[in-house]
Amino acid sequence: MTFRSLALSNMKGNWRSYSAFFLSCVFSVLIFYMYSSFIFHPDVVNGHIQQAAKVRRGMMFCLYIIGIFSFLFVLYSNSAFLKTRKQEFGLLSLFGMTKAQLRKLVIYESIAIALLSIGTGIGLGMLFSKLFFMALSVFLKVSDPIPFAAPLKAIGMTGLGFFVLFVAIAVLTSLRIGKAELVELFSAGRKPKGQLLFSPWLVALALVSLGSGYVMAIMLDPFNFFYMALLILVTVTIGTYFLFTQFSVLLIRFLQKRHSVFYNRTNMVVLSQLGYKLKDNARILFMVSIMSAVILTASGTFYLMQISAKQQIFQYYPYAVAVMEKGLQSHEVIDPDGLKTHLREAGHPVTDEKIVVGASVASIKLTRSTGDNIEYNPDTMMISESDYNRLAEAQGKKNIDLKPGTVAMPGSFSPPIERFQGTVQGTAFDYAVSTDLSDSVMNQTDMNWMTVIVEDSDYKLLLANVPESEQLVWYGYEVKDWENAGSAIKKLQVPEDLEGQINRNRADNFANMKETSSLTLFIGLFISLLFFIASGSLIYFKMFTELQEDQAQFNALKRIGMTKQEIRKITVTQIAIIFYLPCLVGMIHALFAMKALDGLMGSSVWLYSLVIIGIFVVMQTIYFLLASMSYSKGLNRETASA
Amino acid sequence: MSVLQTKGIGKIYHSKGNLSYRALEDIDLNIEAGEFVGVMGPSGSGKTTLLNLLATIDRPTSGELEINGVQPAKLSDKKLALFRRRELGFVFQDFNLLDTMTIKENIILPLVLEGVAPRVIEEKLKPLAIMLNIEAILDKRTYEVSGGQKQRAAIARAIIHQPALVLADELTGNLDSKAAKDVMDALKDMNERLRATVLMVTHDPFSASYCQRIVFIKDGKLFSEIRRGTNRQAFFQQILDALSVLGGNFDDVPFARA
Repeated sequence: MTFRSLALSNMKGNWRSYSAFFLSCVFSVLIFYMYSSFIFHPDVVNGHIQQAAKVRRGMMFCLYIIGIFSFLFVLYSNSAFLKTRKQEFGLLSLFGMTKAQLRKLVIYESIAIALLSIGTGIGLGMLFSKLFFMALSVFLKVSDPIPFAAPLKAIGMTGLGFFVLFVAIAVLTSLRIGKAELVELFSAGRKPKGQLLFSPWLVALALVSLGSGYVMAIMLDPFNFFYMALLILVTVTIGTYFLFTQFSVLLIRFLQKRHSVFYNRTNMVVLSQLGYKLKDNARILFMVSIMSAVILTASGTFYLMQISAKQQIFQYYPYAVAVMEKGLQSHEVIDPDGLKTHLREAGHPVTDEKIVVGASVASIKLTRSTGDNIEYNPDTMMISESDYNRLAEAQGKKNIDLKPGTVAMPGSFSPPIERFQGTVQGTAFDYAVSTDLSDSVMNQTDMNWMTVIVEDSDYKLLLANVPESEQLVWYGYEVKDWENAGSAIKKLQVPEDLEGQINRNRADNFANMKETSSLTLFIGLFISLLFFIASGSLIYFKMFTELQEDQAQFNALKRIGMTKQEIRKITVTQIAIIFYLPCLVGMIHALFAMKALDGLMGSSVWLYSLVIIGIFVVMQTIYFLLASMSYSKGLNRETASA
Repeated sequence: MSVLQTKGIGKIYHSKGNLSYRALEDIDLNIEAGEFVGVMGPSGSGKTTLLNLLATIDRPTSGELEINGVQPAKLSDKKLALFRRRELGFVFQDFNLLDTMTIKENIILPLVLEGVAPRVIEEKLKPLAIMLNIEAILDKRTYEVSGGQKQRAAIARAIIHQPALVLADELTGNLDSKAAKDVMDALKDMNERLRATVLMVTHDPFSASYCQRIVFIKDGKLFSEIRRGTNRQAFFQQILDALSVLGGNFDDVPFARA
């Protein structure tokens, strides 16, 4: 038996506990490879695929995240794994294996698993990269599908990067074995895990941190976002940590004192085992909770960003096409009938037409509440209150109610504007600003970069002085199937110098936004999936490193006459707690985060959040079922051989 | 009334390649309620096999076994586990206590699993703990107490649900002589004061001298049987004599202890 074969047979023997770790590593490598193969794809590098440029940066960012994450994940798993094997190492050194040899053994094992997972990961990555490229082509709207390619640079970077990562971690962790005394190594497994202790102060800290984090999340708004967001993150993280390490002890102690609960059949075994392992489990449960919260919040945020972007588009572009002309019948930009005919022939007939007549306002002077004037002089159009309300109603926006001698104008001035002075066709007026508008009902064009609304009788008075040829008329058209009407709208013939008087970018901007956000979603999805698999595998890994210890417990229970059903019930309950408790805590965190986003963006996404959470729970359940099945199998197998 | 009755039970192990090994053959054993019986024999004589059969964790290949009027061979796996839990009590050489629980929780486990009311559990535990002199360590964990204390806790667990039969397997094997004496005194106490029926498998003549009756087995068969008079010291000598007749390998027996 050579040294290498010893390392290999160690791996075979520990395969059940290695497998989850191995799978997560493979998955990290897989995603890393797929992203980098796109980044280094010859067509992308040569610039053949223009749309790829903006995705590249996002993917680069993801690569960094995967790199950092893999480092932490492998570091943690490796050291946890070595800890469970302390006794084995103790035995080996008792037989005279030197520390250097032990380290060599560990490094050999790591290299073997590194090569295996890198090979498998890159192999699977190549297999799936065509699929990945196809999906990307759809999102990027590339006409020719991206051809299959396995760029050497991607393979090299993935392979070498992960290999260095694995070896570095192996060296780091192997240094730690050398330090322990032999006696210590031997008694590692039998060392009592200590009393269940908690500090009432830390329990209080946990509750206070969580509570204040949640309250801050509810109160979050765009103004306090920057300093509050970080504070929330810190308090919730601290709160969660002490929730699992301190509050849980309190809870278990409390339940153990409640004899009606504790003395109820298998409860006693479940609770005492939970308490016994709590110290080890608390940190994992904490990490998995935070990861679950991140997964859920991130997926929710992506969606929310998409929603708010869509709302913004409608805010900026209430109509698919808007035209501004001077002179009621001039049709200097485009003839309305010609426009309608063109669009109808292109398959996008006009479904709604709005016409608003107003006048240009000149010599604008704005006075703040503090008394000073500000220089703000955009092309401004004055319209009537009833026109505004007519459009607002059609768009489902709020109506306004103006008194004579007042105007409504777009808000967002601070301190607010108090008086509005200007001239319409030489007639000066000086009105009080009564309403700050947050909605706009007309697309902006030349001569209408700002819209002010005046009361109907004032409007009549002012407009009476303006000849028809000087009046402004604004046309808004909504068309059928506007999302796809972009090219048809672009083909409308407009004199070049009047291009600024037509606003027709909604479809294009929307398509752009949709593309970006669905790409973000697509790329982010993989990262979420990676987090999900890794968090599950942390739990899985934990379970299997404890299998042998549990084994002894269950054998003892069996000997005094515990039925198989009862043992099953105990194990399933425990596994369920370990799987669903962090999931639940993560969900609560995510719901508060959603609430915060809700307050931030002013749009409700509860239904969507619930769908995301539902998907998450279903996936977690699948993981749970697989894990508990495989655990029972392992338990039975070991019992039979014991 | 007989608690345990075996009629010609035997056990043959089959291994690969059609090799079979007769571990136990034609054992007739009858234990009355309240008896304290020991089983002795050299290494490899079939003691452990016999105990496993009686403990119903192994099934005989021939013969009939009846415990408290029930034939375990006819029970399903689940019923068998429940039968074990209700009708039998176990004391093991390696204590078999759960590290995750306190001494008290270990003791009351059989009652808790049966769903007995917490009040009744406390009532049953108290006198037993006092009798076994372990009431001071009830809230300690298994790694905080000595071997003798652990074994007395195990005796309490084996008896708290008033089983028909208590089976003890080398229960002093891991103890020093002082602790062994304490444990045997405790077991005898249980037998005499609570009328618990005990069957004990042992190597150790000193522990065996606490029994009322000892059955010797050799090469898987019943060899001889001796009964105790009034004097334990004389009985101890009787056991040593019987063992020398029995022969075989007793290397692992700590004779020096007597």
